[in-house]
Amino acid sequence: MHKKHKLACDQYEEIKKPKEIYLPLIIGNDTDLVVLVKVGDHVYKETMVAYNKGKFKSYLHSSISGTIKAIEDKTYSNGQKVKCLIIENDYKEQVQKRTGVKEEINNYSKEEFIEIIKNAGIVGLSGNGFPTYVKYDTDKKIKTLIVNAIECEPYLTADYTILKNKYREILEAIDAILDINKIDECLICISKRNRKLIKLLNQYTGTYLRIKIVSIKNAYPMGWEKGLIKEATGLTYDGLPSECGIIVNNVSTIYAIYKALKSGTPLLERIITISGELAPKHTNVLAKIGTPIKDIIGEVDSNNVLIIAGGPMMGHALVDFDTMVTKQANGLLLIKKEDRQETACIHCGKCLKYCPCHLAPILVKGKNKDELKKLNVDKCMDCGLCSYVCPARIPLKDYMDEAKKSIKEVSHE
Amino acid sequence: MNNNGPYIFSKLSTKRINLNILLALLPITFYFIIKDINTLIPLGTIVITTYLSGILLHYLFHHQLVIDDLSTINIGLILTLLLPTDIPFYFLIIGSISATAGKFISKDLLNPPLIGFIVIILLSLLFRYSINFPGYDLISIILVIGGLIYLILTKSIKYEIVISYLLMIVTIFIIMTWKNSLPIDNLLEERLLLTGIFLLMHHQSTPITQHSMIIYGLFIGIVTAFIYYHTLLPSGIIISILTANLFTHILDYLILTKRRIFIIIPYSILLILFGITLLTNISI
Repeated sequence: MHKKHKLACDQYEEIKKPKEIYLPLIIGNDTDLVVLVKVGDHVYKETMVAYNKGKFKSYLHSSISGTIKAIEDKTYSNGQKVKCLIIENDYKEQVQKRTGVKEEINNYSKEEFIEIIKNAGIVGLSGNGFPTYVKYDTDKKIKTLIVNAIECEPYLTADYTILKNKYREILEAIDAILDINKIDECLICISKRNRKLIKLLNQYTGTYLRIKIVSIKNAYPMGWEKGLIKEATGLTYDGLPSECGIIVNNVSTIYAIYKALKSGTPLLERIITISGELAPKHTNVLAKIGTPIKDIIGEVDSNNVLIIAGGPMMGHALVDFDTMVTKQANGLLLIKKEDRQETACIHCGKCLKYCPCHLAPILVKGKNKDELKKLNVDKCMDCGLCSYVCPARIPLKDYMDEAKKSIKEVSHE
Repeated sequence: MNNNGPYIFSKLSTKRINLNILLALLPITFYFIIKDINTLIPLGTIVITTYLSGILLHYLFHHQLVIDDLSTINIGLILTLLLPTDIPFYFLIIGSISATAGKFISKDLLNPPLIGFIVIILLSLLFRYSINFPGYDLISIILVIGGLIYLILTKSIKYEIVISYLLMIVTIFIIMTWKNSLPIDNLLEERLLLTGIFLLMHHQSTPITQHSMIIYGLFIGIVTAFIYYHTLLPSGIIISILTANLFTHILDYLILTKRRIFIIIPYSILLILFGITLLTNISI
């Protein structure tokens, strides 16, 4: 599947402009937002419509121009019901006048840079949705910027596609980020199997002397921050990468930063992979945030098709197809609905052998909280590899999730 | 259906693992049949009995044993390959039922073909029947090693256990016999090599962490060699596997709770046992 898919994903397609968008009022996992518009208001494309009250402030913008038709509950990609601004498209793509944009993107100060990416609502586009500016807003010396261009899961090729098509802009943005934040070097991590892309980018390392291309072994979960840093630099840490002077950004996030610095454009759209055995075709599309997924994949038979937001390992099966493209959504997979037939554990030890965090998922079931602590379940990074390799199809990831929840409950008590 | 991933799975299911084990055992089984057509009698008896008793016990115990996953057939095949062809019919039936029942009763703590094998030996002692275990020839060893390589390549067995066992037993045999002859004759004659491979294919009764798998294999190798060289007990491999099965789960748990000392202690004990096995011979 993968080779065929890769051929189809050298380019990306722009989808038809949506009739309306469902802009979810959620930032990261925070739904406690201040909404700046009301039903009936006209909004421009790029109009700031909401922000969160939490510690790490971030903003939401309208990805189209039009009228706020309603505020309704819709199903978010994680299955949660979330309030959404339903914006009717006027197809005019009217944009408000931009101010403060500099000709040369390297000329921003660090404070200006942080303000720009904060106001642009840029968050990590590889899954967690954490505001990107927070990583840069530090007094600690940053030695290395790692650009993660490794697909975090099988099937997905969004990062590959954006790097392949926008490498000049991405290199320019990285150079600016290094200058502005006085970072010593940048490592662009690319999967070893993308030899042509590595070769292409290596031609530019003579121009951008602080940028190095690092080829990373082709294994899941290599997109995992901790694993990637260890593989690329040999460094390990317990808390955050900043402990060892490292910032990790996804390549799609870097492109969003480029657009914010170059033209003041907030995060309005992203490339997502459409794939899976039942997908009409394997492709990558550029979709506006809030685009209803039915506008991308058309009508599907909900009895036989399972739609997954994200990748097949860590993504979420959509219980309701009336949902939308989100900032974190890097893929939509259409696969056959199958029941997982669980059998008895045969004690093969594969879940331990393949766990990147060196945990023992099979021993977690039925353990009390003290025992769970001893088994370090809180270190689980939700990669789902334990469930994937289990020959007995035991839902080990679910056990780990439950165990982590119970440990959290204890620490809150 | 659960809303959480993953939504794709490895092709290596329990059924596929058991099929791979069956495929690995078939060449040696056919070779035994070609060599002695009478092999079909114990083979048929044991495989049918283990399969039927598996179904029966499944309903009796309401245990989550998948009877269509070929595991009971594999138990029967392994047991057949461990026994000579002239064993009384009722020994075979009781042995086969014991192997399957042992799987249920011990909840996979003990190796089922091993239980069947022990019951048959006990029956032979009880009825004063002398079992003459035939040695394996070179073709048998090639076929079994071929099957072993297939299982390792298809990731269907815990190769760490089998490899550490083989390395340990071969090393001790080389050291003990280096003055006289090559150890291969002793290993073939005493069935230690192939019996070990057959019995150590079992997943359920063996450990799950990398360290405990290696410790388990090395321990069985050392104890088997010790019993062979320094005691009059027959079939040291059986005693060593039974002993090792008793500490399998506790060793796994202790290692997994990150108490490093529980990694160091077993390796130290193994080193001492290794020394004792070799030194006793030198002093003799």
